[in-house]
Amino acid sequence: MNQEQEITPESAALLRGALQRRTVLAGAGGVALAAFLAACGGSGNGSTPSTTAAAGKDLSATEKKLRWQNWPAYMDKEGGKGSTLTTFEKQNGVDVNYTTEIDDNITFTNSVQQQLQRKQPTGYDIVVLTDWMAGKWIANGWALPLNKENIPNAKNLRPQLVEVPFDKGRNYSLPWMSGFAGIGINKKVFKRLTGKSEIKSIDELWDPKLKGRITVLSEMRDTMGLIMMSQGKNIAEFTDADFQDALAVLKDKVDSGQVRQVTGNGYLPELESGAIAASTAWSGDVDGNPDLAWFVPESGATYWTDNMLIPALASHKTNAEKAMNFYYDPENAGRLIAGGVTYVTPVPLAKPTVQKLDAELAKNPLIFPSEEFLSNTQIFKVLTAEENDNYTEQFNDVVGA
Amino acid sequence: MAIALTPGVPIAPGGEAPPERVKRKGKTAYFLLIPGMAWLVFFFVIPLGSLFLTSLERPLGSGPSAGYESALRWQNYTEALSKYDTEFLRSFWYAGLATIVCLIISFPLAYFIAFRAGRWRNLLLVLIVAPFFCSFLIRTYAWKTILADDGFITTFANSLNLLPDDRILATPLAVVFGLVYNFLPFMVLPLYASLERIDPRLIEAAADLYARPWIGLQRVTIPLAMPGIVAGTLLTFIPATGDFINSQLLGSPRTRMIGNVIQTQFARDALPTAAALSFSLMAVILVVVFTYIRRAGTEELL
Repeated sequence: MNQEQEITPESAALLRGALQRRTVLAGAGGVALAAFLAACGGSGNGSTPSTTAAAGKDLSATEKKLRWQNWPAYMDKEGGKGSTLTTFEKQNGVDVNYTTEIDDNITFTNSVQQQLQRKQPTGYDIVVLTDWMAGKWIANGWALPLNKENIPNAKNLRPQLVEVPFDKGRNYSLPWMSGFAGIGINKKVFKRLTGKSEIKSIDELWDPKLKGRITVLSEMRDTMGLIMMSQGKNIAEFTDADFQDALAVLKDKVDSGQVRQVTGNGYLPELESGAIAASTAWSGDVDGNPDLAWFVPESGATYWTDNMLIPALASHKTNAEKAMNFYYDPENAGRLIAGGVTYVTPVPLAKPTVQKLDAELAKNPLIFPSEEFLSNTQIFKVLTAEENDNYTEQFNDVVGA
Repeated sequence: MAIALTPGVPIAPGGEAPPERVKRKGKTAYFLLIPGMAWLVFFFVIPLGSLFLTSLERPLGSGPSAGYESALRWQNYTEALSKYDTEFLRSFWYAGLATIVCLIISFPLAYFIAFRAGRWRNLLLVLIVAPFFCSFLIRTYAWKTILADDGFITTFANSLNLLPDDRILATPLAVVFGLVYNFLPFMVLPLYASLERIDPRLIEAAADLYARPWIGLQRVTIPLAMPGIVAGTLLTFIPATGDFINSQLLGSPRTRMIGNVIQTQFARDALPTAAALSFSLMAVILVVVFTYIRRAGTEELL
């Protein structure tokens, strides 16, 4: 055979293979790399939490810019032409770089944690995080205190949301949107499997006819919250035994194959395609699709809020506060809702504007919940860092997320 | 896995060349190695060392949020392995199964391309590589649609009562299938490369010497294709063991592989646990690979 050949075909193939393997792994590489970078120098993580965030030099006056990182489906037209965001840009002469790369509290925080811990700027002026994660940022000194003089409209904030345990008086955070976790169903598939057209309780998810056709959310507070509430517990002040009882139920359902998967936003396409018949689901996701329906279990839904924060060393703090002020103006808040962001607005005064633009929307309890509706919802209690570690680990070990 | 292309000592073209010349050429070769070695040191050796140190850190409190400090806490390994042994074994089981299925599918395919495809050969090779033009995440997502419970494939298999769970998605079958699909080209290409190199006259000679086709395959073709088989199985088995995408997208909580565990542990800041699991995975894979290569007798590959 060709002994004089320098590169044998198999080593060429190996090279090719290795190259392609790298290409293949590139997709996963993003996650792996982020995790890996977190590993390098991750020691002592959180061991010396600074209580005050370092303020950066505010360039707002000279640099008319704003870097905003948000979740998907949280801005009309995702901030494109004709959206409320362009109105803000025009009115204030600020150029907004708006992206929607947050799809998970933990993943996003991991991606900027190194900068935050080393007191380097993250590059963002506004980030939007769920209550418990916002609380972690504030406790670790990763968020800047808000200058309320720049945000006079903050007075329009829904009163129930002012005195939250993780930020009493809202000195660091302002809600962007709130929502509920309840039960979503694919009407057709659910009817075919169970013969019912609505679902009233979490226990109905454990119906043997639905085996392998339901999913639960990977957000521990929503899934565990819903199960604990179905057991008659108050999730604002549950005990360790309550948590263990609920976890035992979940473990049983996962091990028996009743629960098909444990997902984040990934449940939505599965519910739409009918692969799953029912799921614990977020209110705004399911709303608006005629094939799907969303229910508050009789035992109640969890109520969560995503909050705007200004990361430490943000260089356009005043611009960020201007944007917050803009969205707390009732008319702008109303236009945002009418533009298709069907979550609970933190500005109840937005109702007249929504009424004018889309009368149907104004009646939707998932946007303007009545007191009665809210009374059947609960907010998960604030966990200490230690409890959070402990419960997250136990939950992860059960759901294998 | 590192298929290190070890720099061979440069061979001087003529044995009579003066010794200085040989020496100078050697230096040039080492000089040319600097970029590659620097890359390896900065992006492989140092991170690996850092990962190893992380795997021995001691927690300051009861959980990840309290932080960790440098230590030599070897219990991290025993604790992690005893807690996640199921996932560990499952990963090797799924990857082994996927590798065998890949080999069974790939050998006839590569054989056909190498010996029978004629002018279609290049086209077929392109078709093997073509899926790589699309992100493998997207391709794996596509399988969710194709294998959907109400889809054609699942309905058909159900009508024959082939599926114990009445579905394909969220079962071990789907995960192993995903692994086979995603890593198949890594088996086909090395196999093709070594089959294509076989002189067809050797196979003819086997027939001339009264070897039945089956014996000829066993005694001539397979031994000559051995380097390709070894390379292909390694390129399939090793990444498949650490894979977490297929289990995450096509599997269920009960098909969790070790890659998923490592990812979850990193995400919740339990870095020492994740690092200890990563290191154990590397160590076990290395042992498996070396044992395998010893057995297969193709040390020249490494």
